Parts: sequence; C-alpha cells; structure tokens
Amino acid sequence: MTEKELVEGCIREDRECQRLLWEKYSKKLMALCLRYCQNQEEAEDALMEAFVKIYDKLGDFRFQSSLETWMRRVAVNISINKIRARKNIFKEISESEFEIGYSDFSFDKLNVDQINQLIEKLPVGYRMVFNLYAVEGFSHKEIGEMLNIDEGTSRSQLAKSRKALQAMLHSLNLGRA
Amino acid sequence: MEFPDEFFKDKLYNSEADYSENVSFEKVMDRRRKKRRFIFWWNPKTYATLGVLFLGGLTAYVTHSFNEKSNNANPVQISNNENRNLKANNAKNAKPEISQTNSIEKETVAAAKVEHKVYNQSSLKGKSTNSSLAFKLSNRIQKPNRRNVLYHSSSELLNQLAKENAITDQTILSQSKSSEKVSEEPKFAKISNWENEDIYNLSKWNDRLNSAKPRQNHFGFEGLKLDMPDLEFELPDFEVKLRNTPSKWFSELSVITGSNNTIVFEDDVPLSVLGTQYMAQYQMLILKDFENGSMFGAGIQFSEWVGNGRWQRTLNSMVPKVTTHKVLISAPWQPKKYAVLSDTTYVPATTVQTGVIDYKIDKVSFPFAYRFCTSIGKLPVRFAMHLAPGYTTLTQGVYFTQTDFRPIQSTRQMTVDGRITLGPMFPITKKWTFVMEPSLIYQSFVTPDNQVNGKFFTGLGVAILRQF
Repeated sequence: MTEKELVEGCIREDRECQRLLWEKYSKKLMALCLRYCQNQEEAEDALMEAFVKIYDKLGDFRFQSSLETWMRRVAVNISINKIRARKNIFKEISESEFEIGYSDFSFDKLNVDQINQLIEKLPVGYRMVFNLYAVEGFSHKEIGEMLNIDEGTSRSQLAKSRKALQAMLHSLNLGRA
Repeated sequence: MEFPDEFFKDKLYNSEADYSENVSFEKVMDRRRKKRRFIFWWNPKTYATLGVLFLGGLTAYVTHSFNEKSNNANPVQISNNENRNLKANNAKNAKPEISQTNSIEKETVAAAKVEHKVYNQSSLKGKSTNSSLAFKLSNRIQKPNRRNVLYHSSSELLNQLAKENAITDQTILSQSKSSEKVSEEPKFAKISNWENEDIYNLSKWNDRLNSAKPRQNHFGFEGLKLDMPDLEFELPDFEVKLRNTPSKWFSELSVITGSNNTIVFEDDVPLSVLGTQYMAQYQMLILKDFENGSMFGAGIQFSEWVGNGRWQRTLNSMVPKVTTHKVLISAPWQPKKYAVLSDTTYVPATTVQTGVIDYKIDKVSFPFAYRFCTSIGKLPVRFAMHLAPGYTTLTQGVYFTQTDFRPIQSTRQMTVDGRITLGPMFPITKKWTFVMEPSLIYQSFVTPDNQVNGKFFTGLGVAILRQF
C-alpha cells in the first residue's frame, strides 16, 4: 500500500489503514516523544495525543513533505506543548557545571541507549533545542517560532547543550578518542 | 572540532522505542472518540447557542412580567370608565343609596368599591338591580366605538361580578355591625325609616349642592341634580388605552431534518457514487410581526450534515487475448509434425473497484428569515424563507457528488444555506403556536479555492412559536 493510499484510507476512517499507520510509525514516534518528555508516562500520553491529532488532521496533509516528516512534526508540537507549561524551561545553567576538559572527543563508541541516556540528563530547554536542531533538522528560526523564543536563544541553548553533552561524555571516560 | 550533529541524527532519527501496555491502537481510537464527544462542551458555538437561548428566556420572562403589570393596571382605568356609567345609572334609581354612602364622585378604585356598596345596598332593600347589572354588563362588554377591548368571556365577567358583589356584601355587613355598636336600633328598623332621615332628604342635598361652588366633575357636566327623574345624557367616549396590546415580537425554536440520495451506480459510468446524505438544523429566531401577515427576523442556527455511501470506479480497457491452435503438418515421406499457431486479439475488459466514503460537516449560521402567514380555507398556514450565511465548525471525511469524491479540507469554510417551507400552523394557547414545516433545504460550503459544493435536501421541520 502506498503512502497516498494509506492516507486516503485513514481519511475515509478505514480502521485497517489507521491500524497500519499506527503499527508503522508508533514506535518511532514513541522514541521521539521520549526524547522530549520527562518520563515514560508523559511520553506515552504525548504519543497517543499525537496520533489522535494525526488521524483528525490527515485531511490537511498536502503531500508536500513525506508523511513521516509531517507526523514527526505533529508529535514534536504535542510534546513541546506538554513541556511548555512548565516554567523556566530555558533557565540559564552555569557553564561550570559542564566544564569541558577535552577538545578531542568522539561519540562513536556510544550506542543509541547511551546517547538517549546522555540526552535525557540534559536540562529540558537544552534537550528540546538539541533534539529539534540535531535530530529533527529544524533551523534556529523554526525552533524560535516553535518554542516562542529568540533565534539567538536557540543558538545559545544549542551551544550549551553541546558543551553539556561533551562534559557528560568526559565524565563517562568515553570522550577520549 | 565541529560537533557531530549528523552522528546524532543517524543514530536517533530512525530509532524506535517500545511503549507499555497502557498504550495501544484501540486506546488511541477510544481517546479520539471521547475527544469528539467532549468537543461539544468546550466548543464556543455551544456556549453561544446556550447564551442565545438564555437571553431569549430572560427576555420572555421580563416581557411577561411587564405584561402582567400592565394587566393589573388596566382595571383601574376601566373601572373609572365603568364608574361613570354606573353612576349615571344609579343616579336614576338609587338615590337613597348615594346619600347613605355620602359619596358622589368616584375617582379611584376605593370610590368604585363605595359605589358597589350603593349598588348592593339597593338590592338589600329589595329594589331590582337587574337593570343595573345588565347595564354594567353592557358597559363591560364592548361598546361599538370603544377601544377598550376586554379579553374576558361573559362567564368570566359574571364570575368577577359575583365576586365583587360578595366582597361588597361583606363590606355592608361589617358596616352594619359597626353602626349597631353606635346605635342599638335594629338595622331593619333603620332601613325601614330611611325616608325620615335627614340624610335622605333630597331637597337638603340639592340645597347643599346648589350652594357649593360648581365644579367640573369627571362626567363632564356641572351641577349634578339628583332629583332629575329622567336624567338622560350621553357619556363621552373615553379612549381607554390598554397597555397590554399583543406584542409584535416572537421567538421561534425549530428543528429541521432532511435527506438527499445520490444514486448513480452504473457500470458504464467511469466513477459513480451510491450515497445518502442527511442534515439536521437547530434554529432559534427572533421575529417581528409587521401586521400584514409578514414577519421578518434573524437568529442563530447550528447544522449537522453527514453523508455516507460507496464509490465505484469502472475501468474499461482492451486486453490481449491469445488463442492457440495446434496444426498438424503432414508431408509425404515425412514424419508428422505439429505446429502451434498463436493468434492475438484485443478484447474489451471491465475492471470495477469499489470503496466506502463518508463525511461530516457541522456549521454555525446566522439566518435571516421571512414569514408570511395566511390561511387555506380554515387552516392557517405559514410560508417561510431563510437565507443563512455562516461558517463550518467541523469538516471531515470524503465529500462526494454523483460523479466525484474528494477529501474535505478541515479548515474553516464559508457556508450559505437556504430553506423554503409551507406548512400548517396549530395554535396551542394564545401565545404558543406549533408549526409543521415541509421544507426544501439548500446546504452548501465554499472551499478556500472558491469552489461551491451544494446540495438540495427535502425534509420536515417542526417549529414552536411564542409571542412575547
């Protein structure tokens, strides 16, 4: 079944097509939600909410991007909205917490779980900007619009998140190549 | 050294994570269903509709209260008028009673009560009051050129008069008791000697009246002479302005349903649809009567429009058909041989695909309404027209026409609805009327690219009309 047929089936409220869409993308979107949300329950809630919105809004999908990209965008927005309510997401964190000891670092030895663990330890603001920029590929301008922050804030949060990751890598003694 | 963003993207973008048993496809669909139900309560249109209904009710309540006050105020005006007539009558045949009550002019309700005492005391003395009662009745029942339309039936009027008499009887009794305290004479004796009492001496009264400065009384003549045996005068016609004239404002609540069938499901049509569409409208209007049978008004309307059916795509094509023949080749002194001959021809073939389609459109509109009330024979009927611009509040699914179907955009879209009806009216009470409305309804929505999608429905509506 092509992507277009799948979308049209979901628009027709064809239960099989909707189930197929769920089976195809739910685990990927769960991983995405986990990277943004604080815990498993919040991520699962965001995942279900995202799929509810996806099923409702598939009529708006114009095939200008891939279906997966569009669905990820929906899931990202839902996750961000869940976090947005919290205050001080983008609080300044003392850079001394993440002093970098080494400039020659390598993440190659890390597997996916370890990377996720590292990202999970980042403060919420850092984590969101890092995920949006590095993983999802949004520009700083888009991130600024999504998070309602300045483009400069997005850049500084990204820089700080990178430093934080390097510092954590060093603390795990995995930083030296 | 540059930070390896690509490394993270490669590792994480396509990563997957398991979810717990609390998450499943069925639970997502359940949540979606609940959200649709919940949408009714948080949707602003719900509160707008409830607000309009509340305001309508409040307006009706306030108007009703005002009318009640007006009704209470009117009897005073009417009774003044009655007093004038009654007094003229009493002046002819109830002279002693007038002197007994010491009351000539009656301007107020209290004065009217005193007058009733006079009227009833005359009956105590055995004098016939039938003529007075009839006069009173005739005064209460409309005079031809008077505008004080009374909404009492004659039975109600008689009951009311009986009640008034009862009250005045009690008054007389209580008055008699008090007079007994002053004088030990029996009441009957006092009444029987009335001619000897100064108070009943008409010549004295005439003297008093003549010596007094004549003044304009409310009958419009001066120097009332009570000894005029045949006092005849025409009472001026007082215009009694009633404040509870029927209101020209009406509220109307109506529900209309309709359906439309699309039946083009034939093999020779490339794309055909078999479907049914239903619609329901809930409407609240405020109307004003323009007294020539016409009413104009406006209000708010919520419409639901759903359609479901099947589509069929028929593909006619030419497909190759290969036929083979085995041919024996028999040559002298040669072994027998067989050859296979293939013959390819193209034959028409039909491929049929079918699928299910449905859609749902909700909208809020603001109808402008026209009504014309008339009658066919003895049956009151009403012709109605509506034009209702508005916008969609929910669009989902695949919209279809007889030969096409396509997903509806879920963005808000303009709509224009229309309706014409002709149906009988059934008055329930003086203020409430029930109307049946066989209707022809037009429903449409305009997509952002200005494409108009419209359908006609036939259906039946019911309306309840209330006069404020």
